[in-house]
Amino acid sequence: MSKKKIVLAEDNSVLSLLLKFRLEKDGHHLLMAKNGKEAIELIENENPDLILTDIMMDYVSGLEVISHVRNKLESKTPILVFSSSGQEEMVLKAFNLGANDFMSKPLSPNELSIRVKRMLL
Amino acid sequence: MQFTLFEAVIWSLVIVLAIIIVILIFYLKILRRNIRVKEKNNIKYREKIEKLLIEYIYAEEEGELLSKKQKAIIKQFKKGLVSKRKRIIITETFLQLDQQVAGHMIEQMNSLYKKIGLLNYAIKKLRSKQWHIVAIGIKDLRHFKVKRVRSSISKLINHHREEVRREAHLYFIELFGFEGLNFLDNLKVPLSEWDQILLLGEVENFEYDETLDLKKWLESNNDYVVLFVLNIVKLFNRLETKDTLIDLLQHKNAEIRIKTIDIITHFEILEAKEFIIQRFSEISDKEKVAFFKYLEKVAEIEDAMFLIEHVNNNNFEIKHRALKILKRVDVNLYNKLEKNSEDAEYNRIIDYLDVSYGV
Repeated sequence: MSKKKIVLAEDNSVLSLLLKFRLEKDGHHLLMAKNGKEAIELIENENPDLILTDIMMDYVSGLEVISHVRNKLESKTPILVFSSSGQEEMVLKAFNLGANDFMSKPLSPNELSIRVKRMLL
Repeated sequence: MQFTLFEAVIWSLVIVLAIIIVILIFYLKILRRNIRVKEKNNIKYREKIEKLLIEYIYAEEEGELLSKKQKAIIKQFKKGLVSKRKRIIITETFLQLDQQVAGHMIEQMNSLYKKIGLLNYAIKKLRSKQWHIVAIGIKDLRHFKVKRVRSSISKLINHHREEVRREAHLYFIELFGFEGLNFLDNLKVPLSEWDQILLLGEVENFEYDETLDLKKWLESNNDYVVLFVLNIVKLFNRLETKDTLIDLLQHKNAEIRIKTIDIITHFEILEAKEFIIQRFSEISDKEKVAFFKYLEKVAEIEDAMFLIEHVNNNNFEIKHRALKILKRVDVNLYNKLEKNSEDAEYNRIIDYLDVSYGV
């Protein structure tokens, strides 16, 4: 079975390394982006099976990434967003734009692994 | 060719300055190069530390206290601690991840923090003569949930620098929850609005604790403590403090009196109404306005005569609220009021209430 491609957009380098480590252990192929701009480039070039994105990022936010995927690329790739406490309104906006799921920080990598598996079914 | 003395001095100066400029250019070049090299080394070391930290977290083996790999990683961390630059990078990396993950990983990181010896460096910072180092030390200990330094940090709650105090207060609230609020017993210094917002942000996350005695802090000699605890009373709807709240209506500090009226309004405590009406002429305009806001919630028909006394008040807000409340509690009496007055504001309020209000 071929590895599923996942774009992970997260500006916290340690967290993204930790999640990469965890999801690669599950047998996925991770494509890393440090900000929304890099995420959009990866999504356009790699056509991933799943997108994981933080809401607040430099240059291009997670909301803009979702909007780009849903409105410009007209893609139905599942999207999971990470939010911090106090960003409830942003999460609602993310859902309105077409996000499929969200997880709030602090994250549990094991829970993320389960959600990713479910979203890739 | 012969130079005059003046020309010789000028030329000498030009040569000296030119040499200085050349030296400075080279110096700046070397400086910039060193900064770049240092930055590059920092990035490289940071990447190494991030990788080591993640490897440590995932190297756990069931049934073993520490796996071989984890022991080797601890050795590498310890090696880095000797250098101040590397120590800063290690601490920053730990903190960067500490806020982002939950559960068992946090416990692993906190234990690693202690095992590699970073904890001792943080404790050492508490003894520094530089206030900003002390503040950083408390912050590190707070992030890594080190409870055993409680007594050392309790000595810093009244520190002369507010940055240190702030960290000390947050340490108690974040690590000890409601029990941590006991630092308020010994607080002698002000709590700025910003401090109160930060602390309330933490208190909001607490589980409700009925046994917590807020009364002692409402009677504190430190006015800032009283103001802060009034916010907690409102946040957790601690209505059992009602009698103390009524006593606070006579507090010497006007800000506390106003805040208390605000809390009494929130709880709609009827016993406060008669108490304030009797002292109405003695209280400040701000308190009067706050009281009318309270009346908007609790006034009844028997308050109509008191309201009538204030429909011509000089303060626009009081006048407006008096008319508005009167219309609600006793519309017949309100309709009997003179609808035209020499006071243009009065006429405008009447017009608003009769014609536009609620439309």
